Amino acid sequence: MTTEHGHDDASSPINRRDFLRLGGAVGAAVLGSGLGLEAFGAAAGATGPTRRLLERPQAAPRPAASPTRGGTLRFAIAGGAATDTADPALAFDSFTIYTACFLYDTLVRADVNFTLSPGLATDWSANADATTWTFKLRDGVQFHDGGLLTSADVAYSVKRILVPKLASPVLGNIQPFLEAKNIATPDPSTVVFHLTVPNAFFPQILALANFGVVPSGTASFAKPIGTGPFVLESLQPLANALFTRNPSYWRSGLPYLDEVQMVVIEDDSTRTEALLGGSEDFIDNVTGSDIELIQRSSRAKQLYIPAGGWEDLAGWSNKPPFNDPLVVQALKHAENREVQMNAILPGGYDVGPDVPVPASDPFFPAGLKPYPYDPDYAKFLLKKAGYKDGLDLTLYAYAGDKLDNALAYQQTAKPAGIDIHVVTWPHATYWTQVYLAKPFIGDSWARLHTSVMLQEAFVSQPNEFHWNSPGFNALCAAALRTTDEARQKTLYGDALTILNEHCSGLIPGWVHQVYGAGNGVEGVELTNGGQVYFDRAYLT
Amino acid sequence: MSLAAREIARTALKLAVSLVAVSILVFVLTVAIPGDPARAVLGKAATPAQLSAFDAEHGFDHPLWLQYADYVSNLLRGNLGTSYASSVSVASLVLPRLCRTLFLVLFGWTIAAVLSLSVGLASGRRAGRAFDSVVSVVTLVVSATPEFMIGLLLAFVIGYHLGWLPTDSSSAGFYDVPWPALSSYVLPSIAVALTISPYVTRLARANAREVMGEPYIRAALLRGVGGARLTARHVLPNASPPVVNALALQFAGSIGGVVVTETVFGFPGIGQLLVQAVGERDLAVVQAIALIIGGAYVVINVLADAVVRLVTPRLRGAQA
Repeated sequence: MTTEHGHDDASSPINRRDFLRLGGAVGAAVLGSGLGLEAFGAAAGATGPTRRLLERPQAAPRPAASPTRGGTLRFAIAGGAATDTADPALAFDSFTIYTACFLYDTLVRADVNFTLSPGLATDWSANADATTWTFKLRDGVQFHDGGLLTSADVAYSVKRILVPKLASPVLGNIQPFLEAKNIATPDPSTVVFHLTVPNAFFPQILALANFGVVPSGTASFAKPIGTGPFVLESLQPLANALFTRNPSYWRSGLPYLDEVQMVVIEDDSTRTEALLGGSEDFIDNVTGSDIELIQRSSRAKQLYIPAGGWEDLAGWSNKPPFNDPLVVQALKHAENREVQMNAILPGGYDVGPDVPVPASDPFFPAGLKPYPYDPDYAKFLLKKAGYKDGLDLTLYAYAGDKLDNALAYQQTAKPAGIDIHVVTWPHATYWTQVYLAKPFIGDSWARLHTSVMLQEAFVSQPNEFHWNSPGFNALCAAALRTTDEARQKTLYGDALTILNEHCSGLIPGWVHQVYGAGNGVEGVELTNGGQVYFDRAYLT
Repeated sequence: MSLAAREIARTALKLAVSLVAVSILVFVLTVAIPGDPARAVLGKAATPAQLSAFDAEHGFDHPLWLQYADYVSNLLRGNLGTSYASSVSVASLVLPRLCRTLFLVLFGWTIAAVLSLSVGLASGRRAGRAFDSVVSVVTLVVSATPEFMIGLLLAFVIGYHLGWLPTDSSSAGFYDVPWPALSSYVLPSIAVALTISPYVTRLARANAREVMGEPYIRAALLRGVGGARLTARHVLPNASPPVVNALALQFAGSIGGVVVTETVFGFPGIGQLLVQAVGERDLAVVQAIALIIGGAYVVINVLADAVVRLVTPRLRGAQA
């Protein structure tokens, strides 16, 4: 299943699945803008085991100002690619995902806690076994060219993604559940999806920016038409894009901003300095010491999502030595999670058990604890498994957070008799020569909805853990089939507990996805998968 | 005149041969890069059918000489090809950036030329005195500072601390010409100038010093010619030809050499595009940029050579 990874292979530095660069993380949520415009949810007050820099006393929150109209928001982003396009179906890196968020709308929008809110759809429901999903569309929504939104446009937008030739990065997310011919439009305001496989969380997939709705029949995106808050003025791949306000946006009164100027500044320190110096208003992908710089600055503030993405070291669970449960346990007890996460993003992490779902998630099994760091016990387990002289492993990673994790683990595992040889691989060829090719690698993932995450990383074949467990798959499939929340929680809880205990994926914790904003910037909505919304953003 | 005509013919021939050599070299190098552009673009899930379709589409299955011939015939028609990664024309990616980089280099080079000639000549005239020593030390320090440090210091002090200018030049990317975003060009131009100046200043100084020892200078001094008149009419014309040559080389070299400055300032120019294209294995773009940079270097060098040759013989006979 490589189609969903899209341009991971083409060595773009940033893509949806893996936003981490040099210690940064993916996904985001607004924290601390203090205006209550969006639901911050439990994430904002999440009690992770460590808070580090975030515990430093913040300046007294400014009194909420009422939104002011007008102004240009200057947004500097970390990277683009020559393939940057306004086609939402092909959005894969931050440039294209932000563009998709500004120009188009999806049927529903998911916030940082995956709580869905109406977008182009006002109402949605499933039948009892989650095989049929019906969406009611909002009336009177206009495209940028004045045309009215109908169900035909929605059907077209989804159908084109299901065509393999387009090579949409989200093809792999939706293809297992839906065939193009099973999208029905009984009337202009209703779309019905007849799924081939039940999925109780189907709308979560449609919340991805790739499913932005385009007018039926759209073939070229040179002059893109969407329903979104902004209209495209110009787009230069790898360089910049200019967006102006859509006066007929269906969220009446919005957006407040007149213009968004998005530019690519690849160098991290240049980008941070631009924010601190006032030539940019908003930046993404803030990493390492830049986070502290922004915190200490009197001109800028940080916005972040606590559980932006997870780091992992993936071994092939079907091959020696990872196919030995004693060895897997030993490796887990050799993780000093605090040390590893601190090496990756000091001051911007939470540790957790070896599961791809953060503690703040509703599906996280209550009370699931990470294995403690116990190198002596690990050594004992290895001896029991027959490795009297310790275990030798070769671990591959490329420069950045994955390498930091690998090197830190190398140190924490040493007292357990685990000798790890870390190989630094060039980024450009990592996804073709190392990923899925070497038996022990460093990787990181953006946070996705639990149903999507488990499907993509642990159910799909091949995956980087070589994890193929019929019992696990059955639990996941059952969770997708039921609409009973309590039952879903139990099933996913069991599945995650299995991963924590048996899977050869070592997941020390979660990193924050940090953005920087000038003090006068308010109302920015950040959510997982690197999606950023400026509908309600304004400058004071 | 027969002399000029011969010069022009010789120059033209040199140009033609050099450009052909550069194009062959660039072509061979990009073809020799390990890694399969088809795989890089289509991804590891590509089927053999997809891979051979890609190769056929881009002519990779033809013999090398035929690929080269196609490449050259496209070039002569002004077609730089299509970017492998994005299917936009290479020209649309490269040309706006080339324009911006050329302006950046022009601004920086002009500052450098004026600065280094004037300081260098003045320093050479006052060889051994306080002014000369100070200039010597400053030039040394500047030339020892790495390019990115110069850029970072400028951005930090003038941009961030003093706030006089933007710390990054990304807004220059919205325009193909400098004037709407001129403030974005200032700091990088100064950085470019500071990179070029030290060597040229030292050269100008050395030449000026040498010229100052010439008999015709002493004769002029004895005649009462002094100060600015001496510099302008006697020292400058005689000391400058090698300096002009060096400046021309610096200009040519800067077109490709501003990569670091462009990266530090986020300046959307050709250097930055080259780095990005190499990272993405977009060989069509890499090839086009390498050819442009190599071609520009050759053209400027050959022309500078010719100009100096045409100018100097006349000067040799000039009366002091």
